[in-house]
Amino acid sequence: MKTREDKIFNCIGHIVMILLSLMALVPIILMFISSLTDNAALIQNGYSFLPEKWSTYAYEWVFTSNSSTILRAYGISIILTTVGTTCSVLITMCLAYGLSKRDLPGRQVLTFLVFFTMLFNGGLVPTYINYTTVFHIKETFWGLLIPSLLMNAFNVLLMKSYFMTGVPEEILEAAYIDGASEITTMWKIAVPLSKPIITTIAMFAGIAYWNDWNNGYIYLVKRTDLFSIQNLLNRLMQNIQALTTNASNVGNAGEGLAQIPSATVRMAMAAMGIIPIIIIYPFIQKNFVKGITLGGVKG
Amino acid sequence: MKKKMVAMLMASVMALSLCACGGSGGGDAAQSGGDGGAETAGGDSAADNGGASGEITKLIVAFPTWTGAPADTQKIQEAMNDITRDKLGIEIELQISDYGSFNQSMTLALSGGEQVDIVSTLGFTYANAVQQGYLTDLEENGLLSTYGSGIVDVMGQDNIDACRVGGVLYGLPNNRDMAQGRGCAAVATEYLEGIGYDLSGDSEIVRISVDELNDIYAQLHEKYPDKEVYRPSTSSMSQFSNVDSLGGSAFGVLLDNGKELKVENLFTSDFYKNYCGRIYDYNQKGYISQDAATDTTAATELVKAGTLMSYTTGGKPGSKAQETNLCGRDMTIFQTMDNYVSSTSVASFPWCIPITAANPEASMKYLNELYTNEELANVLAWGIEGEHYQVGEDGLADFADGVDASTSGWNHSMGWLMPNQFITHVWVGNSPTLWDEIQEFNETAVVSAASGFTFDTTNVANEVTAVQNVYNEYQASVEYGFVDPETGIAEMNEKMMSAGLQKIIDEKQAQLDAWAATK
Amino acid sequence: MSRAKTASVAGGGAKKMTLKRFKRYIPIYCLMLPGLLYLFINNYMPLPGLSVAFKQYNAGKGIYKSPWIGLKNFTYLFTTDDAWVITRNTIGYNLAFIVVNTVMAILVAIILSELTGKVKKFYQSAILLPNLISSVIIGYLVFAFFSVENGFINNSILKLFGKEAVSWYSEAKYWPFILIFVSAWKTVGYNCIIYLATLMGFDRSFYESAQIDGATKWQQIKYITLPLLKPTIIMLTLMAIGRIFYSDFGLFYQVPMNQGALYSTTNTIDTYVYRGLLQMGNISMSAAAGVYQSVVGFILVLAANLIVRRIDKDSALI
Repeated sequence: MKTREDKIFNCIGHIVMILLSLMALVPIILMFISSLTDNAALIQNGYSFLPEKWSTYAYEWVFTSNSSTILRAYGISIILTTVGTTCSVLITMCLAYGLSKRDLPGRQVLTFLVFFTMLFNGGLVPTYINYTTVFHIKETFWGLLIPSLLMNAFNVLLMKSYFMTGVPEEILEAAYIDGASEITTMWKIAVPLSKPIITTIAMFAGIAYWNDWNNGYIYLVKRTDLFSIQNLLNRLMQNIQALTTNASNVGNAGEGLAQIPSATVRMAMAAMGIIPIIIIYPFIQKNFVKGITLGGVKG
Repeated sequence: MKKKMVAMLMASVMALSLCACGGSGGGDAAQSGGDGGAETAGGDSAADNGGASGEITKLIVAFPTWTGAPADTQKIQEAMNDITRDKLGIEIELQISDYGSFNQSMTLALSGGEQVDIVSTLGFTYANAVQQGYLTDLEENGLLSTYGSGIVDVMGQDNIDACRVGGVLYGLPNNRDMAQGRGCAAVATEYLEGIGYDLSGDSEIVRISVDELNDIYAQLHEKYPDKEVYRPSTSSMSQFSNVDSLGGSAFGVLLDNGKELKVENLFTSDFYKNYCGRIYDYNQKGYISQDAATDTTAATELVKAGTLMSYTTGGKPGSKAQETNLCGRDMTIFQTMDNYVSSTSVASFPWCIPITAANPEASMKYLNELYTNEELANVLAWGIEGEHYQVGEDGLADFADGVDASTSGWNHSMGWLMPNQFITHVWVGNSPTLWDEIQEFNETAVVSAASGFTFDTTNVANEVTAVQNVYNEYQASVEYGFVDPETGIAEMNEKMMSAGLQKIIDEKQAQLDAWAATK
Repeated sequence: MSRAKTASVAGGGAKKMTLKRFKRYIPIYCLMLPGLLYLFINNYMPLPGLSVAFKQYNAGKGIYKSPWIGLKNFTYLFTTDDAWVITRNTIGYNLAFIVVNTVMAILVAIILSELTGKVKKFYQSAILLPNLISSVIIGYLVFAFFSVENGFINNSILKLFGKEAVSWYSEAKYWPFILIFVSAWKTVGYNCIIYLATLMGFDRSFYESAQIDGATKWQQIKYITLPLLKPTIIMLTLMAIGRIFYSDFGLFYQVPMNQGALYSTTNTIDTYVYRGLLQMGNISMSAAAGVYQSVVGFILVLAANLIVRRIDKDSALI
């Protein structure tokens, strides 16, 4: 069945992808290697793929100095990502489906209201005041889950557009005429047909939750036991930045910098932030691809 | 399929409950009318506080440490409360943030009207906090004189007056090294021995001239050509100057130790030209790494790793021990300039009472206790005796048995931030009379004529933003010696002038004159 | 494929129709409720706080009672000599990112959609990984390559060709390329997911019949794939235009290591505001910058949307 042209295309495709994958992976491999480099060697010779001296000090430091913290942070990250992604996909899907109904009264206004939030928000301080004084989510798990991440207009509009172009209206209308309720039509017809975009949004939401450190930075001041793995890493980075940019204002900044773990530890923390993804990702992807092909076949 | 249904069901329950709690919340918001949310919240927390704890007043004390709340924060809090509960009827809650997020969390908490009763302004800049209206006037209704007389006795009226902004007192200075030994360089002793430098003087800080320092560097470079001789930092220029950077920015300064109240442009001064010329010379000779501007590794780390020989530091009694400890090698401190108290150093990071304090009288009472009660001050600084630290026969404190720097649950090394360090124990490795030495160091230092002046940037906010950006653009290349100062400084100055540097200088002069007139 | 429902029923019938449709869609409205409620809480309730941009903020009075000062908080964005540079950089980079990242993402998505087997999964995971690394760490990794004394480029590549070492962090002219490369490196794997999902949703029968007609691969891409992708491309581009006055702070601040010598090509509105206000911590002035960015983005995206609507109604955002 395969023509010669197909073969050439595949061949070129593989070459391009191999190159791109290499480009993506090489710096990440460097990150792993530098997390396993002896700190003094790193300072003397800079980052290197073949360090003069290997060392597991960074990982030992991370695990001995705050072993319980790290494990708990992993737990928080995983729970947050799972719960967050599930809620996010559901809410996004329901809203997007409504907006995709061409004859829904008020659709234009609602779409605009959604779109508007993509460009305007109240800013950090008003948002913080709203969430802490009205909803009291400071120092709680909700503080990680809800602000800004639960749903965003970008995903809603993306999904809406997929519903509009990828799900033929005729089928929905036919089902409705056959006596199915609006909700049944959505669950039984529109949703299965939109698996590719649903898995895509799930992935976006999952990545956003996994990568997020901002919510913890803002809403968790005392409850650092609720920190996710990204919060732990970010805390190191924030401190370094604050100390190096404000050094002139604080005479003892050198002392502070000396207390912050070395470069290899930072690399180790960063590596630990993505190791779970590397482990879990193939499983997600399996379902992801399955979802896509299923959707594709049915479409 | 079944699995999927269950998942779906669970998720929709979650979404529903979420929307339910959102719904009730929405109602609240409508009631408060989106107006004055801050005040409502402040009232709430104060009421909660009064209702729940009866006679005991509960205060929240916030300050940063380099790496966040130590493990035993809860224990320390209990120990501190045991001391003050019966005596003052006050209990506190320690709210310790890491340095990098302290500014953000305080700005948000105070804007949001959350209760904070005592706050340190390290990292949460004092002048900004005053300008944005976060702090209480400490003399209102005789607050300081009624409840804080001990503080005045400890700190002296002069030091307290140095914290006034526009005549109003918003903060209390803490007892520490107010002066700064300017023009100090730390050099690892082993390399000095390597070049045969005579270190027989045995004084803690070796006084030499800049030329002698240059000479030492030249010899070091010759002997150890593979090692970096000197690593400048963003604060090196001010540490190697006798300039008073009024209000903490280099835009409009007093030259020559601030003898006269004449605001001048630092960037056209001879001092600046000479300084940059010297570093440029270092760079040309290969003393400085080509990565100096980019690399964020701490200089002490570099010395520890054996790639660097010298860096700038602030000199004070105890700095030799401090730098030696940080670098893991014996360090020698050279000083080329005077000890100096600049206008901003006393009021660098005062302790304050925010506007969201539930009970300012109690806050002041507690502060008074922190400044005067040795037992309380020691717990805050070093922890619980026997558990975190122990006092040796020489009167010096050291880690308790079985505890070290990394395993101690209370080792924040922020003793210098605490209200009154001088009533706490001296840590081992220092001279037993360290506090007296620091006091003498403060008293004998040259004091700027503008000591106590603070600069209000409100009128020149645009210019400060613009000039700050220009300075950021050029600072590293000019002050780390990567461009010829002949051309680099002129270019930077020209750009700063067109960004409004002169307006900042004029504004500073005007405020300084007004300040001097009221003195 | 998609015929817009025409509600062109004449006269008094229209209202009745609307009411009927409204009744029919009540369950749909209920489904939409959580999402709309969330937007109300997360985005609309704090919105009045934007007024702080026009005020002289005083914490004692709170945001809503602080005195109005008009547009004074905005002036710092325009009175500086750098106003032109930061605006040019912000828009220029965003345009470059839109073009480069979109083209790359589509290319990768098309290639991936044609490939099969385990190795395809590997490619896809590999190119997605960079998106999971924080920009500070990316900054360190970039430094590992471009460091003057120890970097790979200077030490290995340039040395190999017998060239002089380059001081990358003090030569602004290289940074547009480096930043565009880093941005592509970081986002292509992520962006291609959307296109891949859209491609997977296509009806394969188009391609089969095209193959039977003897269309080459290139012709299939040009005449089937790209036109089908068009709505998605337009939509994503429109959204990107809305954010054209914003810049990825991490990319422009952390990756060039905050080097002053590089400002002419790395300073954007966000980094300028951050550096200028770091010392002052002025809430009103930073809010003003946000309002400025939003308003310009809003106007641009509405204009672009209007044009798209004229040409192709279904592809328009709103």
